[in-house]
Amino acid sequence: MNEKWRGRIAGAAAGLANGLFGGGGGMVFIPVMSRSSLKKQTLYATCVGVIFPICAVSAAVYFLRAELSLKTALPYLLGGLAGGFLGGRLYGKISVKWLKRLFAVFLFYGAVRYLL
Amino acid sequence: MWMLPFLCGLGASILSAWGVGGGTLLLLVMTLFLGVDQRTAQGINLLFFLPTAAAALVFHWKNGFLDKPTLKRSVPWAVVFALAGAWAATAVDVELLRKPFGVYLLASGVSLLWPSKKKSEEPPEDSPEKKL
Repeated sequence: MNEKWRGRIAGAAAGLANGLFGGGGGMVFIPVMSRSSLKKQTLYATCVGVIFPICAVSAAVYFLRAELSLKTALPYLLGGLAGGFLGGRLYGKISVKWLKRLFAVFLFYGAVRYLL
Repeated sequence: MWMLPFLCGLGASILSAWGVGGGTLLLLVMTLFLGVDQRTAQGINLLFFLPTAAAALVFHWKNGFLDKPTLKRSVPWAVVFALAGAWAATAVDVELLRKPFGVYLLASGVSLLWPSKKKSEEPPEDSPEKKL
C-alpha cells in the first residue's frame, strides 16, 4: 500500500468508527498508520490532528440530530480542557507502555460488558 | 455531583494527549460506571475531545510533531466518513450498535497489546531519538 492510500484509508476508517461509536477513531488510525515511516511521537500527534476535525463534524451531527445536554457535558469538558494542557506539557516525557497495557485490559472488560 | 465527571474528564484527556486512547476510556467510564446513556455518552465524548485536542494540538504543533502530508491525505477522507458514521449513529436505534461496539473494543484491546510487527523496529525506550 502506498503512503497516499494508507493515509486515506486510515482517515476513512477512523472517521467512520469515530462517527459511529462517538470516539476511538485514533485506535483505528494508529494501527493502520503504524506501518508508515512516521516516528511514534509524530504519529500520535498527527493522529490528534486527524481526530480533531472528525470529532468536530461528528459532534455537530449529534448536536443537530440527537439531544445533547450541555449541562451534563460541562464538567467533563472542563476536566478535559485542564487535562489537555497537562498532558501536552508532559508529552513524550513519560513512558506509556504500562498505561497502554492497563488500558487494553480495561478495553477487554468493556468488551465483555457490551457483548454479554 | 460535578466532581467525579470533572476528574474523569481530566484523567481521560491526559491519557488521550499521550495517545493512550483516552477518548474511548471516558466513553466506557460514562456508560459502565456513571450511568450515562449510550447516545449521550457518545455525544459528550465527541464534544469532550474538542478542547482537549485543541489544547494538545497547540503543543504538538509547537514541538513539530505534526506530519502535514499525512494530515492532507487523511483529513478529507476522515471528515466525509465521520459525517456518514455520525449520521448512521443518530439514525438507528443506538442499542443496535452495542454488539459492534463490543467487537470494536475487543479488536482495539488486541491491537494495543499486540501491535503490528513494524513497531518492534522502532528505537528502544531509552534511545536518544526517543528523547527528542
